[in-house]
Amino acid sequence: MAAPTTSAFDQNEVDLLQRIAEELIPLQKWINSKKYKPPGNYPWRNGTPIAPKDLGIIEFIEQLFATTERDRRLLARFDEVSAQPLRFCPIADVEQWRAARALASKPRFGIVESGNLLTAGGKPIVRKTFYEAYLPILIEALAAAQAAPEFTWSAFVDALVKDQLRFWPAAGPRSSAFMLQFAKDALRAMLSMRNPVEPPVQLALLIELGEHRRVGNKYGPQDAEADVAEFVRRLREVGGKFVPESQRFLPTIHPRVGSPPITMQEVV
Amino acid sequence: MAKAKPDFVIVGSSGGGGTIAWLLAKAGFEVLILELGSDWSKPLKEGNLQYNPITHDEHLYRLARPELKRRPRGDYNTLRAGKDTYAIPVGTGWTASMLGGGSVIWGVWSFRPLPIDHRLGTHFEKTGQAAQLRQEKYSIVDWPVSYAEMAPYYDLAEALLAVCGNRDAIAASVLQSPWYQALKGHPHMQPEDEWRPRFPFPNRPFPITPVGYAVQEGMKNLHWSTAPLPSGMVVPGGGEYSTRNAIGAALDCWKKGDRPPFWQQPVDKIWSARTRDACNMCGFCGEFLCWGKNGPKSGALASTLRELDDLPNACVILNAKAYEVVYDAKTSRATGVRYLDISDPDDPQAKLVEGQSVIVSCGAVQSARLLLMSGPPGGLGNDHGQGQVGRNIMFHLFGLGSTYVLPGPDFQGMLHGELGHTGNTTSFELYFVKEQTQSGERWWKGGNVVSTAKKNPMENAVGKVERDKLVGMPLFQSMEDYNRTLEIRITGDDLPMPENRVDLDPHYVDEHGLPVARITRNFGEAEKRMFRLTRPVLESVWEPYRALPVKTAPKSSDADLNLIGDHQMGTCRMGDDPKTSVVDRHCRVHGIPNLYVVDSSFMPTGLGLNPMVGVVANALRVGTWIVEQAGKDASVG
Repeated sequence: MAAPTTSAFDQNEVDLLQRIAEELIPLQKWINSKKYKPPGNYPWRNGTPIAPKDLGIIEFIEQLFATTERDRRLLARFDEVSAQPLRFCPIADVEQWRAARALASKPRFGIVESGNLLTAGGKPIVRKTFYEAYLPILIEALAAAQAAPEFTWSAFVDALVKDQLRFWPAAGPRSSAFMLQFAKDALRAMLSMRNPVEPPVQLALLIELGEHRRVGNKYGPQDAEADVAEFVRRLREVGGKFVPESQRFLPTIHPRVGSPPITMQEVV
Repeated sequence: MAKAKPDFVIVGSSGGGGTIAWLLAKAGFEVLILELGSDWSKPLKEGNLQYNPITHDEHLYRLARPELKRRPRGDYNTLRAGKDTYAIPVGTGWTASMLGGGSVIWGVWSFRPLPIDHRLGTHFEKTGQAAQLRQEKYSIVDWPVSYAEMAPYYDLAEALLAVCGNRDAIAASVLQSPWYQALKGHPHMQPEDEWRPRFPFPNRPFPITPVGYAVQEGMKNLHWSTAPLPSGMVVPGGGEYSTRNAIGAALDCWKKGDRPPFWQQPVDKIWSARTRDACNMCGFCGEFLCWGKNGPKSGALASTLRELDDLPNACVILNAKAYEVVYDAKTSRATGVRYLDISDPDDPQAKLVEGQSVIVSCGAVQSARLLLMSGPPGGLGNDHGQGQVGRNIMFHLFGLGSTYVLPGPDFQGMLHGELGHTGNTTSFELYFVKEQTQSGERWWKGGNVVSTAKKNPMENAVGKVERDKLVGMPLFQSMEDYNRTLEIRITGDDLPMPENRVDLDPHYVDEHGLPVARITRNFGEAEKRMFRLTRPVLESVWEPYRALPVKTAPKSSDADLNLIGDHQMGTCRMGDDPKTSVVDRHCRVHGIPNLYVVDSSFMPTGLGLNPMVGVVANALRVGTWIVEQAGKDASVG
């Protein structure tokens, strides 16, 4: 895979985010440790380790940044509404209208509390601005932490997630807000199928989980039947007492009124 | 549109508004729909692809913020657990905000109400439980419209929704259930024929999936009678679906002499020859927009609104946020609707559209909000009794269910959640649940049980980080478990209580300075009883799997008070008495002859089932009545 080319982050930031992602979502470590082996022959199971960066998380986050301007305008508008909640009301003489209905004369605009905005640490954010605000602090904290002899990436990330990194500025924003937001964004990239990476690497996490969600999925009744049969076989192998009775679901014969008539062959 | 004032201004385009708009336009009326949201299906209609997976985007449809498919960007509700508590803003309580509304992103579970749902008030009177329920602050009444009167419209609704299922198996699941067997001797349970509709489902059943099979086996182990979940979807592997043929078959079950004039027309005058494609089991259903121009997922967008496109006497205005039904107190009539054109949300424009009659269909919460913002300070239709608009809100008891994680690694990847939509196997075993008391047994209202697939791995994983702050190996463990989880859910009936209601929040406004809807909701004794009685029964479904060598513990949950929105019923109760209801049996607001409410807010009781079939059927019934009255030159308002 080609090295990511980005415009939102410099290479130092890209390296840092990718290294943090490896601790937050340790893909290859998990793959190596788990018992479930998906059917198929994949490079990450044949000596080519895989990491979150290979699934295009940086490029995906940059796609999300594309909506930044829209979000920025939206928050500015909502700030305006919050300052004067009745300013844009189309009702003539709204103060009197509200008084007649025993509604408070000075209402609030509760959009932030309602949870319909992207938030981190309970506050609405513009994704790009949020990353831009955190990254310098993160880089500084890393430099300080790395100077300590006991530094490990694992301990560093763990402390950030728990708001316990002693090198993090006490007056600064909470480190956990960034770590959790970044983890969620990375997961979106690794599971959304919109990450700009070719399969099978694009789908590595889904494949290893045994998840079948794919863009463009297409199945038929025969696939469902085969999966049920396979499931029954597995139940018998593992538990020994299950008897397949999927025939119970066959419909009684009646005309299929919305489509070409159902045939005996289809039913049987 | 030829007239300056359309015959009907309809607010909302989902199963209620979209359906009645089609029927009225087809009958020759001029119809104007105001839809709050935009047309999310536009890229699908403009493209040339038959199957367009552009909608396969879990991030966009389930996680993106601001979330726009359910509500406008600056709108919300508030929620409180009782009248003495302060309501806080929440993102829940919305069906959808897009052309086709909730019938676009719904989960396609398609049940018609049972006969007993039409006469639940009588039922509890006859069983001697009504006094206790009244003491517990419930207001349980019969529907003013009988099951027999609704039955032909249920048939037609199932035809429009292309419901696939096995009628005999559904009937057996009801009739063989212990509650039916115990209660069938009561006269109000008769006639038995009503419990066995003649109209076969228009599509054969959706294929069974591993999850459906696993739950079916657990239920059979308890001797429950199960059935394939009736689903509003063109069945996979069966070719195209002709709605016209299905309507014809539904009408064949309705004696011609009994049919109103609209339904006596030849079927090719009623519906076009347009067909819909079969489901390809892609797995992106609930919360997603179905793919393609002729997509298999049913709803107004795929049926009535497409037919409406052919009619010159109908039009739709998108991005129209209605905030007032204009009312003339002198004539006691609605004269139009004021709305904000939010096509450019940064520069909304206030507009007025006048009409001969107004039909409101915004979902139970928003319909109540609109009526309360309209007319005199008390709101429209709210001057009777204690103020009835907004009362008896019901949401169903979402979250009530049980899960069981099959052991790994043996079952990793085996449950294959992508084979179609979420539900698969169903049972009516717990539609009423038994309480054994010293004085005998009592049957309380429960709900329908359905096997539920785990289909959204990204939403699950992101939720685990957000809620539980999981990262690293524990996060992976949780993602693996999700893949092996079996689940059953009860669509638990949320019995009506007048104290559970919608009103205008005195303290909060939306982006446009309009008061938001305040929802007051709490569980009463009946719900708590249901939680207590169903939990051990639900967990016993997993019994066969607890015999596997590696055991896990079932996890069960009571309903979540905050899980509201998808199903919302009540708020504009239908009834004959203006003191205790908002709309009459024709869904006209009492005292305002040209104002109708046709979404699920009309429901006097909330079923224990997805309400979509009931909503579509009722809209057909009301529309048919309006057309019939016009034909008689009588007042339709």
